[in-house]
Amino acid sequence: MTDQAVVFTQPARRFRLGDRAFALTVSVAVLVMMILFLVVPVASILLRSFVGSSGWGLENYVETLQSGRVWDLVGNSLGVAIVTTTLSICLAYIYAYAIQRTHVVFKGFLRLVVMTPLFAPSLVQAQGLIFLFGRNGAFNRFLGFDFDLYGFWGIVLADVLYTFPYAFLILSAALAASDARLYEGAVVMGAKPLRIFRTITLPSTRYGIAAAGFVTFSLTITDFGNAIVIGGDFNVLATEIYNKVIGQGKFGLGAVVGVLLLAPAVISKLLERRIASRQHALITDQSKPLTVGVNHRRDWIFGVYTYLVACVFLAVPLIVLFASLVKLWPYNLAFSLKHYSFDVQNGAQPLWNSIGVAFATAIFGVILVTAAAIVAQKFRSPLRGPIAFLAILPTSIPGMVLGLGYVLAFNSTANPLNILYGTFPLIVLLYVYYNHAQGFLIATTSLKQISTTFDEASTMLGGSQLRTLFRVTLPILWPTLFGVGVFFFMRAMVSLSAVIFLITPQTQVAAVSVLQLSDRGANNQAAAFSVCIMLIVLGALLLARCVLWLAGARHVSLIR
Amino acid sequence: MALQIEGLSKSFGSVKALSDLTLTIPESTFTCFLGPSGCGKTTLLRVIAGLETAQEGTIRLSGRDMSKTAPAERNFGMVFQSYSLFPNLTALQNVLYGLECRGWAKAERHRRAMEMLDLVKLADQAHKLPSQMSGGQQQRVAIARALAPRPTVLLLDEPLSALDANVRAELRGEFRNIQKELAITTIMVTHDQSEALEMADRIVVLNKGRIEQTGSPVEIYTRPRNRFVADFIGNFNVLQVGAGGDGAIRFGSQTLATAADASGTDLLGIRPEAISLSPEPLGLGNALYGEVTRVRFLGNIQVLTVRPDCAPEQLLDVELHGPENIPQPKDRVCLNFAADALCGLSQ
Repeated sequence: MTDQAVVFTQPARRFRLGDRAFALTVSVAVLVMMILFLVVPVASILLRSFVGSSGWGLENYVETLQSGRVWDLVGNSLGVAIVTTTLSICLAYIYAYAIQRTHVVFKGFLRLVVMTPLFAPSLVQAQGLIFLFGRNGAFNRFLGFDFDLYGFWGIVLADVLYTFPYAFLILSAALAASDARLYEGAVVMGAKPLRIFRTITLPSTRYGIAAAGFVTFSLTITDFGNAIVIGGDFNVLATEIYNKVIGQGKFGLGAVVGVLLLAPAVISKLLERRIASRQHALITDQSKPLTVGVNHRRDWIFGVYTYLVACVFLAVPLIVLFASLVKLWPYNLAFSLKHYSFDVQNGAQPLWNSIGVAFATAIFGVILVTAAAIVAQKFRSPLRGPIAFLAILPTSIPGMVLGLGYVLAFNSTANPLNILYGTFPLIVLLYVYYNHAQGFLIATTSLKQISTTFDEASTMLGGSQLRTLFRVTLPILWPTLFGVGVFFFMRAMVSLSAVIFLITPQTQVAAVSVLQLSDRGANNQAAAFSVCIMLIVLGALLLARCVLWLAGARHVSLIR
Repeated sequence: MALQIEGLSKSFGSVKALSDLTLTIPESTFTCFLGPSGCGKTTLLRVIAGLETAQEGTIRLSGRDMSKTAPAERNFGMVFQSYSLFPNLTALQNVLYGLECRGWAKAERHRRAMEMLDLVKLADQAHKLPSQMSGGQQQRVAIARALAPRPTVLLLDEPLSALDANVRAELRGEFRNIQKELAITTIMVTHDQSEALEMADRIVVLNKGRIEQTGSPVEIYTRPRNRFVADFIGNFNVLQVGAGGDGAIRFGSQTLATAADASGTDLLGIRPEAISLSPEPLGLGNALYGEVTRVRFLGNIQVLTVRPDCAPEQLLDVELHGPENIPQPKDRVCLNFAADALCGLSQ
């Protein structure tokens, strides 16, 4: 066996990017984007909070913290958040229990109904509650009640509705994972239902409860839309940033309040992540799923509860729909489509803008999130650690804070990317990075489920990483990525707080129009805008479902 | 093409997966790496493939060092345990994949892919997706896919272990025929000794990252070098023996007649089926009397456990074929075996 006898068949290859060069290029691109559009804005807000009228220093902090007002605001925010969290968790727990552990009828319907807040602009709860219980609401006006909704309890009610779906999704997952052996053991030992609940069900879902609690808390404390619409004279930290920045033009003070808001949100997010990771360990592979027994009395009680809750969730969008279809709520209830003519400034343009922005967000969101997930999962690049960290950082940043960060970072002429300021691309990027963490986690989870054997098989056949990606990985992954795109689309259609500072008359989006119209008292037109947003989101969801159904990918969940 | 492995070592943290392995895989042969799980056989195959890198040692293909060559450039074909067909591509597209990677002309690669599918008798299934095929069909497509780009070496990583028993039996023969027809140097990893015995030209028995023995299936089966190999390849009676004063080998109180290679060791092995039972000695070289203590009925064979009078603490297993004339527990029997049926074992 001599070397000469061996003919190495190295077939002619077309030019191809080396695997390492490709991995490095993508990693660097992903990281640079994250630094520009995530790190720099957050850093800007931190830096700006230290810039006062006399230069660098703690001036803004001193001014803010010495005024009694900020402590009132902190107290208000914490009060709202704590009461909302408690109520939301209790109500959602019972609801999730009914769905997972009893035989209430039409569970699919019940699940869907409480998800409606996710399809609507994030101030629609306040809007609907005002139509129902406000000064000119249906109850006060037509049924002779005398509610005063504005203020603390208004915000709490609206935020309970707003956070309910998030809490429900987490609690429902926690209640779905159960070990029948424990329950059988308890029954054999003669435990009564209440005791079983206290000693088995509650402890086994405690991590879920804690995780749902932290999620609800951070959603509530950072919520802006509901608080500004229904709060009246009752201010919270989130509305204070808006007042300081939009009302008084005091960016430094706004930045300080933003930092104050960032702290509890970051802490509760970090705690939630720690706790969520423990939930899985409770169920082992030997666990037997629980089968729910027959108990008509229980089913009736829970049935009544779930349908009452479902009515409330239906009432909000329905009253908004109703208000958008009458001449002048509540004085003239004659049917009219005139509010859908959008004879306001900009007309229906904000809706088209929203659709365009949402599409762009979906496309760029999917590309950026997928690239980040692939770098973090598949490439052995030294940059994967920082990228994985930055990818999930946005979960802990409130939308308003990130939005203000964008203003501070890109409004400055010192930033070469200043040309983006006041344009749609910047709004798209803000939406992408605001929702980056959830999209990244979905993509990473699915990527993990694709066997590494495919990569190895492709390598052994002589395939480059690029070829593996486009020929194998992405074609397998596309239904999930499509779902991620739908998620980005939804979020870009409905979220308000992130973009509130970036909007110009030329780049108005629909969710902000709702706020501005209801601020001006044009409630019927605001309602019409809300209805259009909800219909667009629902239409997009239906369309996406059809596409997935036709493609044979039926198990992709679109609602998250 | 022959593959030479020299001084290969690899550890995962403090666990030594491969320690100083040296081995030559001759050209055009079918070699099996055989061993229990965790013995390092899969790691060795993956190092050869280039999917893992060894910390020390070299791999040469016909004298040329491959250690630094990227796996995609080695031109080795590989078949994995299961689920390695790309699920989004049809059988044909899967087979075409490696040819596309190598930039073959369209007509040429199509012809080659169909030829390969024909070889594994699946030309009529070319346009099916993996999910529409059975496990056995999928593995046959995987073989076709691995062979299509004319690899220099074919690597099989437990290719049959995820399949049903009857499909497995059928594919053993089929894989072996394809290997012979193409005369391609092939390495298969398996933990199933009967698979290794049936398919391989050479078996490499691995344990704890070391080679225990290398040889033909017949050698490995009849002349295991040590206790581990003897135990791993089927049942083996291991006899603890001592040297008598005259240099003869004594099993308890009795002297044994052995072949030359069995001297100088205190462990002897004998296959259960190499022992014949009879009421009186048959004159095969060795005859031990004993009492039957246990009878196990396993269908085509019966396994008897016998307590020999000469060494009552060392029970021996004997295999009988056919259900006739099975002794019962407490029966007295005579065990007969030839001198060369005994082989010497190291610890």
